[in-house]
Amino acid sequence: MTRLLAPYTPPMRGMRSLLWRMVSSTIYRLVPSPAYKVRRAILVAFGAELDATSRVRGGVRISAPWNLKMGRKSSIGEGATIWSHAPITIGSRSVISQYCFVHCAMRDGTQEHPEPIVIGDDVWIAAESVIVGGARVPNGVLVGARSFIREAIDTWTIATGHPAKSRRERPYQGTKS
Amino acid sequence: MSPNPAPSPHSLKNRIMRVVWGIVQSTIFRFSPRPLHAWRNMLLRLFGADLHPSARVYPRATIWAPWNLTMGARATIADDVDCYCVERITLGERVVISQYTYLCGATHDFELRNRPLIPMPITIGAGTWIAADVFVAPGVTIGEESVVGARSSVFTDLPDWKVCVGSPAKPIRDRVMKDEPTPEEHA
Repeated sequence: MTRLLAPYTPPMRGMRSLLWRMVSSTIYRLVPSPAYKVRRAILVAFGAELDATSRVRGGVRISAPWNLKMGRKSSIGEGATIWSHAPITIGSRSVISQYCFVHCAMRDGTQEHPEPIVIGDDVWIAAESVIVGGARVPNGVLVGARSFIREAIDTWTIATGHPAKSRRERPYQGTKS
Repeated sequence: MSPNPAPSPHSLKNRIMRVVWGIVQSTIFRFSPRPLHAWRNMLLRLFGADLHPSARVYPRATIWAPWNLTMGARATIADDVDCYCVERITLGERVVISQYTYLCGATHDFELRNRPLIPMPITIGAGTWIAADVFVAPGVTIGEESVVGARSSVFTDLPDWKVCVGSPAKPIRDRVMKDEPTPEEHA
Protein backbone atom coordinates (compact mmCIF):
# COMPACT_ATOMS: atom_id res chain seq x y z
CA MET A 1 0.00 0.00 0.00
CA THR A 2 2.79 2.32 0.77
CA ARG A 3 5.34 0.82 -1.56
CA LEU A 4 7.61 3.00 -3.60
CA LEU A 5 6.73 3.85 -7.17
CA ALA A 6 8.78 2.23 -9.89
CA PRO A 7 11.94 4.33 -10.10
CA TYR A 8 11.31 5.65 -13.59
CA THR A 9 8.65 7.61 -15.39
CA PRO A 10 6.41 6.00 -18.00
CA PRO A 11 7.40 7.15 -21.50
CA MET A 12 3.93 8.43 -22.30
CA ARG A 13 3.43 11.92 -23.58
CA GLY A 14 0.52 14.20 -24.35
CA MET A 15 -1.99 16.23 -22.41
CA ARG A 16 -4.09 13.27 -21.29
CA SER A 17 -1.08 11.54 -19.83
CA LEU A 18 0.05 14.68 -18.07
CA LEU A 19 -3.43 15.32 -16.69
CA TRP A 20 -3.72 11.74 -15.46
CA ARG A 21 -0.41 11.98 -13.68
CA MET A 22 -1.67 15.06 -11.87
CA VAL A 23 -5.05 13.55 -11.01
CA SER A 24 -3.68 10.13 -10.04
CA SER A 25 -1.14 11.58 -7.66
CA THR A 26 -3.67 13.87 -5.94
CA ILE A 27 -7.46 13.39 -6.08
CA TYR A 28 -7.46 9.76 -7.20
CA ARG A 29 -4.98 8.77 -4.55
CA LEU A 30 -7.02 10.33 -1.77
CA VAL A 31 -10.29 8.53 -2.59
CA PRO A 32 -11.02 6.28 0.42
CA SER A 33 -10.67 2.57 -0.28
CA PRO A 34 -14.41 1.68 0.02
CA ALA A 35 -15.44 4.42 -2.46
CA TYR A 36 -15.32 2.16 -5.51
CA LYS A 37 -17.84 4.24 -7.46
CA VAL A 38 -15.82 7.43 -7.18
CA ARG A 39 -12.64 5.72 -8.30
CA ARG A 40 -14.45 3.96 -11.13
CA ALA A 41 -15.93 7.28 -12.30
CA ILE A 42 -12.49 8.92 -12.38
CA LEU A 43 -10.99 5.99 -14.30
CA VAL A 44 -13.90 5.94 -16.77
CA ALA A 45 -13.48 9.69 -17.30
CA PHE A 46 -9.91 8.92 -18.36
CA GLY A 47 -11.09 6.34 -20.87
CA ALA A 48 -11.10 3.07 -18.92
CA GLU A 49 -13.75 0.55 -19.96
CA LEU A 50 -14.97 -0.71 -16.61
CA ASP A 51 -18.10 -2.72 -16.00
CA ALA A 52 -20.34 -1.10 -13.38
CA THR A 53 -19.81 -4.13 -11.13
CA SER A 54 -16.01 -4.14 -11.34
CA ARG A 55 -13.95 -2.95 -8.38
CA VAL A 56 -10.58 -1.28 -8.10
CA ARG A 57 -9.44 -0.97 -4.50
CA GLY A 58 -7.52 1.91 -2.97
CA GLY A 59 -3.78 2.23 -3.42
CA VAL A 60 -3.83 0.75 -6.94
CA ARG A 61 -1.50 2.59 -9.30
CA ILE A 62 -2.54 2.67 -12.94
CA SER A 63 -0.27 4.30 -15.50
CA ALA A 64 -2.82 4.70 -18.31
CA PRO A 65 -6.52 4.08 -17.51
CA TRP A 66 -7.42 4.43 -21.21
CA ASN A 67 -5.73 1.07 -21.77
CA LEU A 68 -7.62 -0.77 -19.02
CA LYS A 69 -10.71 -2.91 -19.60
CA MET A 70 -12.49 -4.86 -16.85
CA GLY A 71 -15.48 -7.22 -17.09
CA ARG A 72 -18.34 -8.05 -14.72
CA LYS A 73 -17.50 -8.46 -11.03
CA SER A 74 -13.75 -8.47 -11.59
CA SER A 75 -11.52 -6.68 -9.11
CA ILE A 76 -8.00 -5.41 -8.45
CA GLY A 77 -6.64 -5.67 -4.90
CA GLU A 78 -5.04 -2.91 -2.90
CA GLY A 79 -1.52 -1.83 -3.68
CA ALA A 80 -1.45 -3.46 -7.12
CA THR A 81 0.50 -1.77 -9.91
CA ILE A 82 -1.08 -1.73 -13.37
CA TRP A 83 1.51 -0.43 -15.81
CA SER A 84 -0.79 -0.27 -18.83
CA HIS A 85 1.39 1.15 -21.58
CA ALA A 86 -0.43 -1.34 -23.84
CA PRO A 87 -4.04 -2.59 -23.50
CA ILE A 88 -4.80 -4.72 -20.44
CA THR A 89 -8.02 -6.70 -20.64
CA ILE A 90 -9.49 -8.43 -17.60
CA GLY A 91 -12.49 -10.74 -18.07
CA SER A 92 -15.45 -11.38 -15.79
CA ARG A 93 -15.27 -12.58 -12.16
CA SER A 94 -11.48 -12.36 -12.23
CA VAL A 95 -9.41 -11.16 -9.30
CA ILE A 96 -5.96 -9.58 -9.27
CA SER A 97 -4.90 -9.70 -5.61
CA GLN A 98 -2.95 -7.33 -3.38
CA TYR A 99 0.43 -5.99 -4.52
CA CYS A 100 0.37 -7.72 -7.93
CA PHE A 101 2.55 -6.12 -10.58
CA VAL A 102 0.97 -6.13 -14.03
CA HIS A 103 3.47 -4.58 -16.37
CA CYS A 104 3.03 -4.35 -20.15
CA ALA A 105 6.58 -3.24 -20.85
CA MET A 106 8.73 -5.50 -18.74
CA ARG A 107 9.41 -8.48 -20.98
CA ASP A 108 12.55 -7.06 -22.54
CA GLY A 109 13.40 -4.69 -19.71
CA THR A 110 12.87 -1.63 -21.89
CA GLN A 111 9.72 0.37 -22.22
CA GLU A 112 9.85 0.69 -25.98
CA HIS A 113 7.90 -2.44 -26.87
CA PRO A 114 4.92 -2.68 -24.55
CA GLU A 115 2.73 -5.70 -25.29
CA PRO A 116 -0.92 -6.20 -24.34
CA ILE A 117 -1.94 -8.47 -21.46
CA VAL A 118 -5.14 -10.50 -21.60
CA ILE A 119 -6.67 -12.07 -18.49
CA GLY A 120 -9.69 -14.31 -19.03
CA ASP A 121 -12.82 -15.08 -16.97
CA ASP A 122 -12.82 -16.68 -13.47
CA VAL A 123 -9.10 -16.11 -13.02
CA TRP A 124 -7.58 -15.57 -9.59
CA ILE A 125 -4.07 -14.17 -9.56
CA ALA A 126 -2.98 -14.39 -5.93
CA ALA A 127 -1.00 -11.80 -3.99
CA GLU A 128 2.30 -10.28 -5.14
CA SER A 129 2.43 -12.04 -8.51
CA VAL A 130 4.11 -10.42 -11.51
CA ILE A 131 2.59 -10.49 -15.02
CA VAL A 132 4.64 -9.19 -17.92
CA GLY A 133 3.70 -7.89 -21.38
CA GLY A 134 2.39 -10.41 -23.89
CA ALA A 135 1.13 -12.79 -21.18
CA ARG A 136 -2.22 -14.51 -21.74
CA VAL A 137 -3.96 -15.93 -18.71
CA PRO A 138 -6.81 -18.14 -19.99
CA ASN A 139 -10.19 -18.74 -18.35
CA GLY A 140 -10.38 -20.37 -14.93
CA VAL A 141 -6.69 -20.24 -14.09
CA LEU A 142 -5.56 -19.86 -10.48
CA VAL A 143 -2.08 -18.42 -10.15
CA GLY A 144 -0.41 -18.92 -6.75
CA ALA A 145 0.99 -16.08 -4.68
CA ARG A 146 4.35 -14.60 -5.74
CA SER A 147 4.31 -16.27 -9.17
CA PHE A 148 5.85 -14.83 -12.33
CA ILE A 149 3.61 -15.10 -15.39
CA ARG A 150 5.07 -14.91 -18.84
CA GLU A 151 4.62 -18.24 -20.62
CA ALA A 152 1.37 -19.89 -21.69
CA ILE A 153 -0.79 -21.50 -19.00
CA ASP A 154 -3.55 -24.09 -19.69
CA THR A 155 -7.19 -23.20 -19.01
CA TRP A 156 -8.70 -24.23 -15.65
CA THR A 157 -5.41 -25.17 -14.04
CA ILE A 158 -3.53 -24.12 -10.93
CA ALA A 159 -0.23 -22.52 -11.89
CA THR A 160 2.57 -21.58 -9.50
CA GLY A 161 6.23 -20.74 -9.55
CA HIS A 162 8.78 -18.63 -11.30
CA PRO A 163 7.93 -18.80 -14.18
CA ALA A 164 4.38 -19.97 -13.42
CA LYS A 165 3.55 -23.37 -14.89
CA SER A 166 0.32 -25.37 -14.79
CA ARG A 167 0.70 -27.86 -11.92
CA ARG A 168 -2.71 -29.50 -11.80
CA GLU A 169 -6.34 -29.09 -12.86
CA ARG A 170 -8.39 -26.58 -10.96
CA PRO A 171 -11.58 -28.17 -9.64
CA TYR A 172 -14.71 -26.24 -10.44
CA GLN A 173 -18.37 -26.33 -9.64
CA GLY A 174 -21.02 -25.81 -12.26
CA THR A 175 -20.12 -24.84 -15.78
CA LYS A 176 -16.76 -23.72 -17.05
CA SER A 177 -16.74 -20.30 -18.60
CA MET B 1 -24.13 -16.67 -14.14
CA SER B 2 -22.39 -15.49 -11.01
CA PRO B 3 -23.10 -16.96 -7.60
CA ASN B 4 -23.64 -14.63 -4.69
CA PRO B 5 -20.42 -13.62 -3.02
CA ALA B 6 -19.62 -15.41 0.24
CA PRO B 7 -21.12 -13.59 3.22
CA SER B 8 -18.54 -11.66 5.24
CA PRO B 9 -17.02 -13.98 7.84
CA HIS B 10 -16.33 -10.98 10.07
CA SER B 11 -18.66 -10.06 12.89
CA LEU B 12 -20.21 -6.60 13.05
CA LYS B 13 -17.99 -5.83 16.05
CA ASN B 14 -14.91 -6.83 14.04
CA ARG B 15 -15.90 -4.57 11.16
CA ILE B 16 -16.65 -1.59 13.40
CA MET B 17 -13.39 -2.05 15.29
CA ARG B 18 -11.44 -2.20 12.03
CA VAL B 19 -12.95 1.10 10.92
CA VAL B 20 -12.02 2.71 14.25
CA TRP B 21 -8.53 1.17 14.13
CA GLY B 22 -8.17 2.28 10.50
CA ILE B 23 -8.76 5.88 11.53
CA VAL B 24 -6.26 5.61 14.40
CA GLN B 25 -3.72 3.84 12.22
CA SER B 26 -3.88 6.32 9.35
CA THR B 27 -3.50 9.30 11.68
CA ILE B 28 -1.85 9.26 15.12
CA PHE B 29 -0.14 5.90 14.48
CA ARG B 30 1.14 6.61 10.95
CA PHE B 31 2.32 10.14 11.69
CA SER B 32 3.88 9.46 15.07
CA PRO B 33 7.63 10.27 15.29
CA ARG B 34 9.71 7.19 14.59
CA PRO B 35 11.38 6.91 18.03
CA LEU B 36 8.00 6.81 19.82
CA HIS B 37 7.74 3.03 19.87
CA ALA B 38 6.11 3.09 23.29
CA TRP B 39 3.30 5.27 21.95
CA ARG B 40 2.52 2.92 19.05
CA ASN B 41 2.90 -0.08 21.36
CA MET B 42 0.31 1.51 23.64
CA LEU B 43 -2.09 2.20 20.74
CA LEU B 44 -1.86 -1.40 19.56
CA ARG B 45 -2.44 -2.72 23.07
CA LEU B 46 -5.40 -0.38 23.42
CA PHE B 47 -6.88 -2.28 20.47
CA GLY B 48 -6.22 -5.63 22.09
CA ALA B 49 -2.75 -6.54 20.82
CA ASP B 50 -0.76 -8.89 23.04
CA LEU B 51 2.56 -7.04 22.97
CA HIS B 52 5.53 -7.16 25.27
CA PRO B 53 6.24 -3.55 26.36
CA SER B 54 9.55 -3.64 24.45
CA ALA B 55 7.99 -4.76 21.12
CA ARG B 56 8.47 -2.24 18.31
CA VAL B 57 6.21 -1.49 15.37
CA TYR B 58 7.36 1.20 12.95
CA PRO B 59 4.89 3.88 11.87
CA ARG B 60 4.32 2.85 8.24
CA ALA B 61 3.55 -0.81 9.04
CA THR B 62 -0.04 -1.88 8.39
CA ILE B 63 -1.71 -4.03 11.03
CA TRP B 64 -5.05 -5.42 9.88
CA ALA B 65 -6.41 -6.24 13.34
CA PRO B 66 -4.24 -5.51 16.39
CA TRP B 67 -6.29 -7.91 18.55
CA ASN B 68 -4.85 -10.80 16.50
CA LEU B 69 -1.21 -9.79 16.93
CA THR B 70 1.16 -11.26 19.53
CA MET B 71 4.73 -10.00 19.85
CA GLY B 72 7.40 -11.05 22.35
CA ALA B 73 10.16 -8.99 23.94
CA ARG B 74 12.06 -6.76 21.47
CA ALA B 75 10.21 -8.20 18.49
CA THR B 76 10.15 -5.65 15.66
CA ILE B 77 7.93 -4.95 12.65
CA ALA B 78 9.61 -2.56 10.19
CA ASP B 79 8.13 0.12 7.94
CA ASP B 80 5.89 -0.92 5.04
CA VAL B 81 5.24 -4.40 6.41
CA ASP B 82 1.68 -5.57 5.77
CA CYS B 83 0.54 -7.71 8.69
CA TYR B 84 -2.75 -9.19 7.45
CA CYS B 85 -3.71 -10.86 10.74
CA VAL B 86 -7.19 -12.22 10.09
CA GLU B 87 -6.09 -15.11 12.33
CA ARG B 88 -3.49 -14.81 15.06
CA ILE B 89 0.02 -13.83 14.00
CA THR B 90 2.56 -14.69 16.69
CA LEU B 91 6.09 -13.29 16.69
CA GLY B 92 8.41 -14.69 19.34
CA GLU B 93 10.93 -12.60 21.23
CA ARG B 94 13.62 -10.81 19.20
CA VAL B 95 11.88 -11.61 15.87
CA VAL B 96 12.60 -8.99 13.20
CA ILE B 97 10.24 -8.54 10.25
CA SER B 98 12.05 -6.34 7.72
CA GLN B 99 10.65 -3.76 5.29
CA TYR B 100 7.95 -4.61 2.71
CA THR B 101 7.34 -8.10 4.07
CA TYR B 102 3.80 -9.37 3.64
CA LEU B 103 2.51 -11.62 6.42
CA CYS B 104 -0.55 -12.95 4.59
CA GLY B 105 -2.93 -14.46 7.15
CA ALA B 106 -5.78 -15.64 4.93
CA THR B 107 -6.54 -17.35 1.66
CA HIS B 108 -9.78 -18.28 -0.14
CA ASP B 109 -11.30 -21.69 -0.82
CA PHE B 110 -10.95 -21.72 -4.59
CA GLU B 111 -12.85 -25.01 -4.83
CA LEU B 112 -16.06 -23.25 -3.93
CA ARG B 113 -17.60 -20.87 -6.43
CA ASN B 114 -18.01 -18.01 -3.98
CA ARG B 115 -14.44 -18.42 -2.65
CA PRO B 116 -15.07 -18.01 1.10
CA LEU B 117 -12.22 -16.59 3.17
CA ILE B 118 -10.02 -19.08 5.08
CA PRO B 119 -8.02 -17.34 7.81
CA MET B 120 -4.95 -19.25 9.05
CA PRO B 121 -2.47 -18.39 11.80
CA ILE B 122 1.20 -17.55 11.20
CA THR B 123 3.80 -18.29 13.89
CA ILE B 124 7.43 -17.15 13.82
CA GLY B 125 9.78 -18.51 16.46
CA ALA B 126 12.06 -16.50 18.77
CA GLY B 127 15.14 -14.88 17.29
CA THR B 128 14.18 -15.40 13.64
CA TRP B 129 14.92 -12.66 11.11
CA ILE B 130 12.60 -12.29 8.12
CA ALA B 131 14.55 -10.10 5.67
CA ALA B 132 13.09 -7.50 3.32
CA ASP B 133 10.09 -8.10 1.07
CA VAL B 134 9.42 -11.70 2.05
CA PHE B 135 5.99 -13.24 1.43
CA VAL B 136 4.75 -15.50 4.23
CA ALA B 137 1.77 -17.64 3.21
CA PRO B 138 -1.23 -18.40 5.46
CA GLY B 139 -0.79 -21.19 8.01
CA VAL B 140 3.01 -21.17 7.95
CA THR B 141 5.13 -21.80 11.05
CA ILE B 142 8.76 -20.66 10.96
CA GLY B 143 11.13 -22.07 13.59
CA GLU B 144 13.36 -20.33 16.10
CA GLU B 145 16.63 -18.54 15.36
CA SER B 146 16.35 -18.95 11.58
CA VAL B 147 16.91 -16.42 8.80
CA VAL B 148 14.70 -16.03 5.71
CA GLY B 149 16.54 -14.20 2.89
CA ALA B 150 15.23 -11.10 1.13
CA ARG B 151 12.49 -11.54 -1.48
CA SER B 152 11.87 -15.16 -0.47
CA SER B 153 8.38 -16.64 -0.57
CA VAL B 154 7.55 -18.94 2.34
CA PHE B 155 4.81 -21.49 1.53
CA THR B 156 5.86 -24.34 3.85
CA ASP B 157 6.99 -24.56 7.47
CA LEU B 158 10.68 -23.83 8.07
CA PRO B 159 12.90 -25.42 10.77
CA ASP B 160 14.94 -23.91 13.63
CA TRP B 161 18.48 -22.54 13.18
CA LYS B 162 18.56 -22.51 9.34
CA VAL B 163 19.25 -19.94 6.67
CA CYS B 164 16.40 -20.23 4.15
CA VAL B 165 16.11 -18.54 0.75
CA GLY B 166 14.24 -18.70 -2.53
CA SER B 167 10.78 -19.12 -3.92
CA PRO B 168 9.59 -21.41 -2.43
CA ALA B 169 11.96 -20.76 0.49
CA LYS B 170 14.11 -23.73 1.46
CA PRO B 171 16.81 -24.19 4.11
CA ILE B 172 20.24 -23.93 2.47
CA ARG B 173 22.53 -24.11 5.50
CA ASP B 174 22.74 -23.96 9.28
CA ARG B 175 22.86 -20.63 10.99
CA VAL B 176 25.96 -20.67 13.13
CA MET B 177 26.55 -17.86 15.58
CA LYS B 178 30.21 -16.95 15.41
CA ASP B 179 30.15 -15.46 18.90
CA GLU B 180 28.15 -18.20 20.68
CA PRO B 181 28.32 -21.94 21.31
CA THR B 182 26.28 -24.04 18.83
CA PRO B 183 22.82 -25.28 19.89
CA GLU B 184 24.30 -28.78 20.39
CA GLU B 185 26.96 -27.41 22.68
CA HIS B 186 24.24 -25.50 24.52
CA ALA B 187 22.27 -28.69 25.17
